[in-house]
Amino acid sequence: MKQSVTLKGTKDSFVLSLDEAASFVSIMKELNELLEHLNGEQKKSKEVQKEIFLEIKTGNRLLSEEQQELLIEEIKLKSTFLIKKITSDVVTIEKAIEWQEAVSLQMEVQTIRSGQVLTAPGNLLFVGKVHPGGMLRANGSIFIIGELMGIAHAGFEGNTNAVIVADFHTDAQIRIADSVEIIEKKNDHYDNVRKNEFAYINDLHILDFNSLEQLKRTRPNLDKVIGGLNEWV
Amino acid sequence: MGIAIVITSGKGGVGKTTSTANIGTALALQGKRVCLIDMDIGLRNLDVILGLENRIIYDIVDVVEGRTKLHQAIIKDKRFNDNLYLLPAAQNADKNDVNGQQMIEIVAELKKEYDYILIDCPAGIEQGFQNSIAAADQAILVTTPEISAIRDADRIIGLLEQTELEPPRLIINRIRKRMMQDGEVMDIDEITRHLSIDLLGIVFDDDDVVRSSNKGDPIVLNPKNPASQGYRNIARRILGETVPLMTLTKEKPTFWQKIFGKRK
Repeated sequence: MKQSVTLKGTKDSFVLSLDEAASFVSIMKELNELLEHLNGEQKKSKEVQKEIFLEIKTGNRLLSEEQQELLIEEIKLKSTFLIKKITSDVVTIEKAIEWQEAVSLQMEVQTIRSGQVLTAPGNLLFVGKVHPGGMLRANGSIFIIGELMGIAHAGFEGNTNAVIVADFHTDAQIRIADSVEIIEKKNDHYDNVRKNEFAYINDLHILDFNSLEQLKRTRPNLDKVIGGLNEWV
Repeated sequence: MGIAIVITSGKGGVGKTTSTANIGTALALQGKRVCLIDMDIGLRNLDVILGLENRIIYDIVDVVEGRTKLHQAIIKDKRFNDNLYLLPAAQNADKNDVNGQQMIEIVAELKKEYDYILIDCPAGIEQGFQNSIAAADQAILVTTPEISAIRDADRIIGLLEQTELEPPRLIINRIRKRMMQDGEVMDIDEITRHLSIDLLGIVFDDDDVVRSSNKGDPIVLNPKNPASQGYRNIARRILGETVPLMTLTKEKPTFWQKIFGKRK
């Protein structure tokens, strides 16, 4: 019969693979046997055991929180392994969508009128006009091709690394995280802030503007997907 | 089967009721059977402008609450070959006494008999507005060249876009030629571009509109008046004709105005 639990050693840790086709009950049974066996051998050798890291691979199977707890408890109880992580080759669609939304660039082509709010969970590329009284909100950065006459709020859940790239040449309001900047004709910014600029939170935690050439230096990771799926899950 | 058109604006005082009365009259003059519905329950005006105030017996709330039949509440305007009718609003009730479903039923009933049903929407975006748009197939948005009216119009377009209505069409009302030419207010192109909806027509500001309304005669009855021409053109465009937009040519000062330096 095929083993449903296999333990392999790698360079710096052990990997415990659980067969995705086996039932959880039989996995727990075999794991129990395996650990008992190991314990027996350890007793024979009588060496002082140092801490060994263990990675659990569940293959094409997702363990529920309860199952994970059972597994962790069993291993803690019957061995000296330290569990580094539990990894799986699959994620739920829900998680995947969440991740995709958070890291990808959502594109919207429309007109945001007075009283309307467009919310994006990640970064937002907006093509169109934001009328006075309209609002764009993104948890990531906002890039606007068109006219901003309303409010653009980047990093609205507190992400101070977010930036806003737009032509700041009309009356508007810029928000990043909890900082606000009002762009008005009367305001000296209006003339100073030219096209091809971006808004960001500087080292002094003040909302500031800078020319686009400085964007790469200010936010070097903006064009990379920060953190792969593994870190995210 | 008739078409129900709601006439709305968001802001008050831009000429929704005047526009409803005049477009309705203009359509009736073109030989269409038109029924106007006043939805401004509690603050009704449409009957006054049409000069039908004294002839109200039953109103829309009576119909909704089953005190009368729909056809009994409708008032006929005898001036237009039996083509213009009005379903008046109640004065001693409020906007929550009618709901959207009841409006849909009333309008469905009226559509069988009339070519056009024009719904005069109250100002604001509360229940009265929701009732008015519930039964409509199309929407006409009235604005003036003032920034506050334009801002409210923008908000209304946003709300209308969330419904299944066709995109609204725009009427720019009460245009003062001189102010627009001098660039003191946004011009027609700017307003249309800003709101990015189709322009249905423009109406010039004219003292005779108020004068005529006070007498209970819609201004469209006077074919020479510039505001009247604006409304007549709008009615023809609703009927599907292609009518060129009226031009904003500057009124030349007359000989006497030159002498006395009087400006209009």
